[in-house]
Amino acid sequence: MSSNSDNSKGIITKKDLRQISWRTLQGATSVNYERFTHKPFVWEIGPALKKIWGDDPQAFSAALQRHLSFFLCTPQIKSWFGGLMVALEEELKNNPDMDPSSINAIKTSLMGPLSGVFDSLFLNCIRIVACGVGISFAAQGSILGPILYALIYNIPAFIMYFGTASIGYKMGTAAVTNLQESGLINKVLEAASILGLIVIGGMVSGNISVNLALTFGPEEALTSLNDILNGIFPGLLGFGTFFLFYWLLKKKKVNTLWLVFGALAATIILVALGIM
Amino acid sequence: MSTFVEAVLLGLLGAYCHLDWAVGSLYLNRPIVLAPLVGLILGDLQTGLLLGATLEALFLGSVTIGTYIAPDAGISSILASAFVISSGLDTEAALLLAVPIAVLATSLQNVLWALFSFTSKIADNYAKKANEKGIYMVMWFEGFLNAFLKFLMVFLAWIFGSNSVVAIIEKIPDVILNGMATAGGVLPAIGLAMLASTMMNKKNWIYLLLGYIGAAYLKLPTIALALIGLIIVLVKFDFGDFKQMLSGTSGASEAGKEIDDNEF
Repeated sequence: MSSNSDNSKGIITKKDLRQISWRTLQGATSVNYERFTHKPFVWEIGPALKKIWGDDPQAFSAALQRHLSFFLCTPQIKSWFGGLMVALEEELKNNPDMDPSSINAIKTSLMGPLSGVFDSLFLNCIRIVACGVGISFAAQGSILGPILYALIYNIPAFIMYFGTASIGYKMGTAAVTNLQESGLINKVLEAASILGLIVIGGMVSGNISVNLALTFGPEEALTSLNDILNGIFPGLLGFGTFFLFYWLLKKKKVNTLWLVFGALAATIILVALGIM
Repeated sequence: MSTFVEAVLLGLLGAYCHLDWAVGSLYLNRPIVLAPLVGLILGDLQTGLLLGATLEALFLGSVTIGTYIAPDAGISSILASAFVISSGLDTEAALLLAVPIAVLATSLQNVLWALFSFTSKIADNYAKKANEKGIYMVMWFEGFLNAFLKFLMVFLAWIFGSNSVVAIIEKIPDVILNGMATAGGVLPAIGLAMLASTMMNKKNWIYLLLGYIGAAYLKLPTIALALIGLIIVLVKFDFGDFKQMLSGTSGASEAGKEIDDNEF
């Protein structure tokens, strides 16, 4: 298990790792419900596997079958996984005592926790910031909306695609075990949630509008109930609506589809009655 | 532009909804990008941008994470935007159209992804013969079939649907249209609630309040909120060792050697 650190005699070169990065871009070309994105993963590391095992068709076939097993993770860490798996395959070639099934064991055990972190980071944090900025420009009819959205999401994504294959290759598995044991994964998860929630809070204020049409008082001093509520806390009803839906989703486990139709129906009725 | 040419162009956008996953998972198959492109095709970029903002807010929480396959925001935003632009309705009407289309498109895709579990057996056979090119072929076949299915969904919906859908929408009474316009302000709350439910708990909900106050009282733009969040996170957590881990790992591989001995 020493060739990870001294890969001077390694088979895999920088060029091979760059090829892994490029092929990561096809990471979800085909998907199925049994093993998800396993074929694109074989596409990603296939040439490197061929380079390692090409002289031994039987071992190459075994490697292909190994990596056709279940694979599903955040797109942005597939490059890192490719580097890591190639390092392990190379290790297997140099060290006949190694148990081949440990390769898949490592892949499977890392997939879940790391996807948890990077799904939070990319889908719930960076994407939300990108959407928040994008929506605010697009809502004013500015073409900058979609452009900024695309850039904010994809610049970090491409740093991951092209920067992490070699990290995975160098790391081997040890550093990851280290990462898990030091509790750093939980830290990153928590940090991503905090950042995400702050942005969501801002979007709750900017994107929800729930207003009452009700008024009271004498005609010359007509007071709108809505103004009073907003005086107490701006957008109080929208804020409340958000928490109502949150409660229905999380605590009552109401299906989203029912929520959407229910909200539509309720709004139409309230508007028809002159309340909203 | 003839309906046929429009249908082809919109269909290609539909195909792109899948092909996005084959060019880097760029997430350009989302309403905020697709609706403006639909606007460009149908000659009304401005409405497309507004529709993009409206629909993205609705579908914000609807992303495929892990094994959860979200309603198809891409196909539905293409068709909903196209129908709304061509009928000249309020942008909010897109919301009413978008949800059923998304559900339908997702169920069609579900059938395909279940079928691909069987074609995986063909890939398995190629693996047994040490033929990696065969596996790639199966992957590209599935990928393009999936993209073609999405092309067809949009193409056919536009060829057969545009006039009839517009005719139906025009018969909708004003009360419902007004209600739908108001619902445009309510529905984003669902998307945001979905999103928050994946990460909010008793300990961190206060940060959502912070973001809300920043936007509602201080009128801070999203970028400012994100930067404040970043500062809070950096102050609250010490990421020193994480940085080292990402930057070449001299320390990490040292630690690795110690673990090596009893790892396998």
